Amino acid sequence: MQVVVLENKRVIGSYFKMRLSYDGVLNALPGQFIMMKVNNSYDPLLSRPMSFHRIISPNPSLEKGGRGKFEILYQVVGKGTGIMSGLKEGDKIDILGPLGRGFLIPDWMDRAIIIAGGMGVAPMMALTEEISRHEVKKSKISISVFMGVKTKDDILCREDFERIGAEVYVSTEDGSLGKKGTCVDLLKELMTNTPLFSPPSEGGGCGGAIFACGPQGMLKAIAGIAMDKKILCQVSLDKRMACGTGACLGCVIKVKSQKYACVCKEGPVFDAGEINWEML
Amino acid sequence: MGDVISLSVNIAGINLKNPVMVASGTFGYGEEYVPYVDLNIISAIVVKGLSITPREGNPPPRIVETSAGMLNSIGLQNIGIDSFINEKLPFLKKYNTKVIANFFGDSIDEYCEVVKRVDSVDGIHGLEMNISCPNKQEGWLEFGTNPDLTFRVVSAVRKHTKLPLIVKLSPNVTDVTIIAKAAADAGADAISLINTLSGMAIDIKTRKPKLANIVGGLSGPSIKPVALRMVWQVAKSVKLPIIGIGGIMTYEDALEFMIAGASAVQVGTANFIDPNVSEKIIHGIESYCEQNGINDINKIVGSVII
Repeated sequence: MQVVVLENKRVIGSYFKMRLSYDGVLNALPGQFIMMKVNNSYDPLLSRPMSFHRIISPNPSLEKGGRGKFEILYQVVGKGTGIMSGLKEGDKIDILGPLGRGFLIPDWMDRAIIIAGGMGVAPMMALTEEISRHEVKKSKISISVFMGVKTKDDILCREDFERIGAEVYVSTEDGSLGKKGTCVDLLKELMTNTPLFSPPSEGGGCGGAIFACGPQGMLKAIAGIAMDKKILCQVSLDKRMACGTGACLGCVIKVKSQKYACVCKEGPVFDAGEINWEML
Repeated sequence: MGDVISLSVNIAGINLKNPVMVASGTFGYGEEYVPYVDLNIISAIVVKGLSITPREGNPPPRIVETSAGMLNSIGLQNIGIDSFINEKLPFLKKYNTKVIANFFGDSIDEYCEVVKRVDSVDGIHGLEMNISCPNKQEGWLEFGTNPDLTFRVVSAVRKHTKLPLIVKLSPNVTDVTIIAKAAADAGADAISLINTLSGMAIDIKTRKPKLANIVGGLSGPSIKPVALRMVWQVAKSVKLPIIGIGGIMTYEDALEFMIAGASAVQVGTANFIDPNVSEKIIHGIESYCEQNGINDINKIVGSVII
């Protein structure tokens, strides 16, 4: 489908945010993604996987002529994202999507721990907005966002998370803001101060769950902590892709059944327990 | 004006409603693309290469983008011929498209075993034999890089099937026409070419190859001139129908292959970028015929003026 650029602006440094609109219905879920063809040339040849940063319903409604919108958050790291940063209002782009499996919000969850490492923050805004619309036992779900970055200039969307009512905790590797270290350290700190738990599958009750996106090493560490404490943990993986539909088999990871799974189709969101972390 | 343009072609007894097929390994088992494509438009789906038992494939990273192309080292990951027949084929049979089973083996026996399983299966209209695989029993030489090995494996397979047999050639040879002739002499019904070109990419920061398998197969528009040259050479050397493959992105690309001597084409890597590309190519070919007073696409095959 074709989408139209409404706005494309630098957030800070090499980070950009693009807002796009589309005709009809998209039915995207937080954690899902699109494949975006950044221009009509053969170089770059392939489309780029981009997660939904924000999913915005038509306002006014579709029937009254409104158009659905979504945002992507990206860092200029190479040729494709460089071209993306030059796109202007009114430019038309071909996309495929929504693709893949998004985050599942458990109906028992009263506490969400959202962990974003670096650009892993991109899909977490859509997720946080979605969780903030949910209620459990007629009360709001408490949301904590842990952001881990290299240095303070890499912190993105902090105010946006706070505006939705999330508590934001920051870690920087150089200690320029917040806790010196990584967002794994933030999780460890939380676990020592206030124990987090998911309810047992039988027996009911409320509890907390972890949602994480970021570099593989970070996800592995978080998955280890979560599985050790039996906390439900979903991770979103970022892999190089060609098709985005499960056809090319290019973006595989090893899962517990010892088989390869396509991140594009069976993911990008996996339950931490599904992944064979030793083989990643 | 008003004349009906015939786009149908016949490849080795397979009647195709148009000359545009989708290439093996770029369209899964068809179902992956159902949300985006009307499979009834495509003349034939060449399914992901099948072996006698399931294959896990190579470790990742398996793909890397290159200038106007991509390298892949998927390593022939597939669910195996039996799972294909039981789990995937019933779905494909619901569509008005021909199913061509691409297959391979590690030995002549393995090739023959696959063929024995599919020969009597309803819903498989043809076979495409991938001979770009190493022969495990005889020094790991790729079947398709040696005329003697090509002849032996194709002859052996031929004895086990009456289905139309297409042999897919590797471009990683000194003279592709010698291999094409060996396949023709061994009883192939058609030749498809080219498979991917062997290639490599290195990360200059880490100095490591970008693919875990070190080398992979190059595809995409960057290989089209090489593929076109080889199709032209083979079309002159053998009397069999030719299926042109290699970097086809547009209807103009497809027409070049047909003018060079291909009776049909396969669209590969382009499916990754635009799942509807085949439909656009078919419409483009039709418009070209209309504008150039061509009432039958077969008239263009091999019409290159030298």
